[in-house]
Amino acid sequence: METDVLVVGGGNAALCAALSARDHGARVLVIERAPKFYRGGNSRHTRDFRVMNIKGNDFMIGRYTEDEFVDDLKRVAGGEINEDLARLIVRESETLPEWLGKQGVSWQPALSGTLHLARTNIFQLGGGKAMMNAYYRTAQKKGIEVWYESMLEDMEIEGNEFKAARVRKKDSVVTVKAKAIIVASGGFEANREWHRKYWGSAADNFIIRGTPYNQGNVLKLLLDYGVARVGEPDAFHAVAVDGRAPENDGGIVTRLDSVPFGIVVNKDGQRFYDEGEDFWPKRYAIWGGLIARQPDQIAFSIFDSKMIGKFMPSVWDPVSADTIKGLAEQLGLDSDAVEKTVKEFNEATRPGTFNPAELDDCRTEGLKPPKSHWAVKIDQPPYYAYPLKAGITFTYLGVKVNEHARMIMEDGSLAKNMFASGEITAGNVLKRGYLAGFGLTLGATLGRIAGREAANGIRQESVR
Amino acid sequence: MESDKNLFDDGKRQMRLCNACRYCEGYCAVWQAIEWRRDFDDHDMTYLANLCHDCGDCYYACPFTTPHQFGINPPKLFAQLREKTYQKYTWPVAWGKALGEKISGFWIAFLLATLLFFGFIFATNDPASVWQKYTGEGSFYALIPEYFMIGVFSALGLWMIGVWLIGARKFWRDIRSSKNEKVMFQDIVTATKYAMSLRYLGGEGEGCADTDEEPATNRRWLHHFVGYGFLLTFASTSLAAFYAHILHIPAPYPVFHPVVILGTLGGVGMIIGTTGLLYLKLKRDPDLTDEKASKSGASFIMALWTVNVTGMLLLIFRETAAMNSLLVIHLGSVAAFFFTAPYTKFVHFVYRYLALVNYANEERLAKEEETAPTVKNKPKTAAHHKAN
Ligand SMILES: Cc1cc2nc3c(=O)[nH]c(=O)nc-3n(C[C@H](O)[C@H](O)[C@H](O)COP(=O)(O)OP(=O)(O)OC[C@H]3O[C@@H](n4cnc5c(N)ncnc54)[C@H](O)[C@@H]3O)c2cc1C
Ligand code: SF4
Ligand code: SF4
Repeated sequence: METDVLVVGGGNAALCAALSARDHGARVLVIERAPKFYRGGNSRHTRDFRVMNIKGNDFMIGRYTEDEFVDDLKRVAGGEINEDLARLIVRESETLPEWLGKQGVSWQPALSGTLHLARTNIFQLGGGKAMMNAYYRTAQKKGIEVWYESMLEDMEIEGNEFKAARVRKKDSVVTVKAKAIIVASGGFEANREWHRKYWGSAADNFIIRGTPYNQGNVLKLLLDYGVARVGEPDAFHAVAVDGRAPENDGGIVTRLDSVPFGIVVNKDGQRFYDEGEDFWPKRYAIWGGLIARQPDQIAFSIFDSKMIGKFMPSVWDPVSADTIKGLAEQLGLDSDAVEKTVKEFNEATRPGTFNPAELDDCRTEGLKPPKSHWAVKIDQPPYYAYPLKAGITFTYLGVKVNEHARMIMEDGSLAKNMFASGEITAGNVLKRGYLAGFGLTLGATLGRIAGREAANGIRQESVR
Repeated sequence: MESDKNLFDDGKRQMRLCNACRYCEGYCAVWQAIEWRRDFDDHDMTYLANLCHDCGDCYYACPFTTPHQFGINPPKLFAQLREKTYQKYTWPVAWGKALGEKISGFWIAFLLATLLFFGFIFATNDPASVWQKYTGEGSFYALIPEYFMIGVFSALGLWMIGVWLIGARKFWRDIRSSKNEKVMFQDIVTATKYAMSLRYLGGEGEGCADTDEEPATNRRWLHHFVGYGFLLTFASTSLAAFYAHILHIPAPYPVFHPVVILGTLGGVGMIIGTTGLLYLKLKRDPDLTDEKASKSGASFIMALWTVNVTGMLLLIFRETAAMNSLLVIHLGSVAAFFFTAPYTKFVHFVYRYLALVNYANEERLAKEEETAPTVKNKPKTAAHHKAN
């Protein structure tokens, strides 16, 4: 099998790269490890893109400037970003709504539920799977070849030039020769072995929120073949999910938003972090990591009946009991310890006006750790609790690329015909930290560039 | 019934999961209605099911359909629940099963009605007269007197509407059982607008994802052909009654007469619409259909098709000796159609319209609440949206 551009992966980054390469005249083959039903990696679980928006469009409200976007990136990454690449991606993001619209993606007008992000983010109509369906439909119309259940197993790389790939296609092994390769195979979220390297046995208790197919084997191959690495290897983005979530692929619905409405204790019945530090949309991204560092990587969000109905409904009923003791027993916790924690918390709360819509004045005094906002006594039975686990969403270790999405080798030279996009390149911009909607934006902008550069490179080569 | 309980319980499970997701909120009215709720009871399930117009968009957008362990499938769930509505709220209930579920109910009624009309002719005329050619004024009534036709079809019409009203009342009581807010005239106006434009018969302009993941707007315009076709033939019939009884000009009317033009347009529209819909049904992805619901839907479309095709044949051959037989067959089909109408998918418009009225009512109340000044200390529930 021979093609111009081989695209590895089947998510947002891969399909943007494939469509762009095809639009620039190349023959394209996409290989997707998952079966058709599960095509689209973690992209099939997504909801929105973050885009710079200064001209305004029908689906967003207000303006979001380049500087503001870049500053947001810097803030979440603790200042450590590659600003040149970040600016390029931010600028490129401005035209994404239109370009993706041409590739078949439909957008959803800002509705009540999405309003708080409508200035910075644009939502796909129907979410990530609808978007992936649209990409694949357009790909088919444009004559892009797609192989499902086809996994890249190995590559033939000479120096800094890609020659061919060994692909396991269902039960057979096929060698695919290509003039260029674009790798968009996501992160290694689903690879527990890999997490164990950094987390030890704690990794066994992680929930993988997305696809089980993101094992990171292509990333490993590339690093082994001498492509330069970027990103913090042990960093990941993880959120608090319901402890009853399936091990893999539970997607968005397992996420819990109850944390600011009560307290969170670990398995010893102790609080460990300020539940009311900031608005939840600004804090949800740290809670997975916090829980991952607790004993047995489990925690419990405890609140009382005053708070029912104040946050997004969740899939499973909370555990409930008429006393804190009863609740603790049901959760399998030391009831004395939990009672003591609740009592101390209640005594430390200061009177205030509870208001989840602002950083209110309900806080604790003299408590460690404090709860800075929305600290209201837990005293109205029945009492409720959700078990919480760390839900792995995103990894940062990746391959180094330049502003043309071209891979950079360990010795600093540029790869001849190897490109990458999407999560496997996230570490180029952010070493750590997470900004809602940036994962897709990165994949789409860099994917579009990668497709164009790969196709143009082939054309120049053949002219010569 | 045990199976009903399982169906409703699984429905509630699915709705809770959807409510924790909300990715489909841009597709149709169902999703707004879900977001206005936290818990779901049987009444909600019945309401939501009849608000769904079965486009399939959410099914294709959902990452959690089987083989995923969550097993989410709103269109199939709602189709099954609607089937329950049609059965439960009709009257007499036992007839619903016998006449609505399968096309055979219609065929048998059709056959019996046709035989009865033939029987009437043979009893009141010389048998040979059936093959006689009648043309010109009053020829339709040569063998079956006008008063007889009026009597039979008025009775059947009243029957149809009567049973619909019984169902409508039972359904309305069900879905409104936990509500105190008044429905206002403007809710009815809004609902009528939604219904007439079939606004929700196809997501936000994407059209129904009907046959596979490919969205197609076909279903909406085919449905328009059927719906407006039906209204045109209804107008034609009413106009005919006006000519016959007020102006005393008896049928049949010449080809360019408004009665014939309206009837022809309506009939052709319905034939195009029903043929198209039947074709789409054949091509439709079986994963998102409930077999039973699909059958009863198909049998209704087939019945409508039969009525229109026999009507068209009558129009074409009305100057020939076949006219009498064709007239009898057409009348038989119309009679069977009226008789079975309260039990077939035809009733969907009754329930769907009422569901839309309920929706318009909820929508207005939600808007009023949104624009009302928030009471301090009582912030609105955080209708947060989950972003990654
Ligand atoms: C529940 C959830 C919700 C999220 N929501 C958002 C959101 O709203 N907005 C946002 O920007 N980000 C979101 N993210 C993050 C986002 O999903 C990712 O950043 C983004 O999808 C990465 O895109 P990608 O194309 O690089 O990788 P993916 O979409 O994960 O695709 C990787 C693909 O590579 C394939 N693959 C892997 N190995 C091989 C191999 N050896 N051979 C062939 N193919 C292979 C996989 O099967 C898969 O198709 C979310 C993540 C999760 C888990
Ligand atoms: S994507 Fe699935 S779970 Fe989410 S709202 Fe749509 S149908 Fe429900
Ligand atoms: S099938 Fe279509 S109409 Fe029915 S709930 Fe889903 S999106 Fe709405």
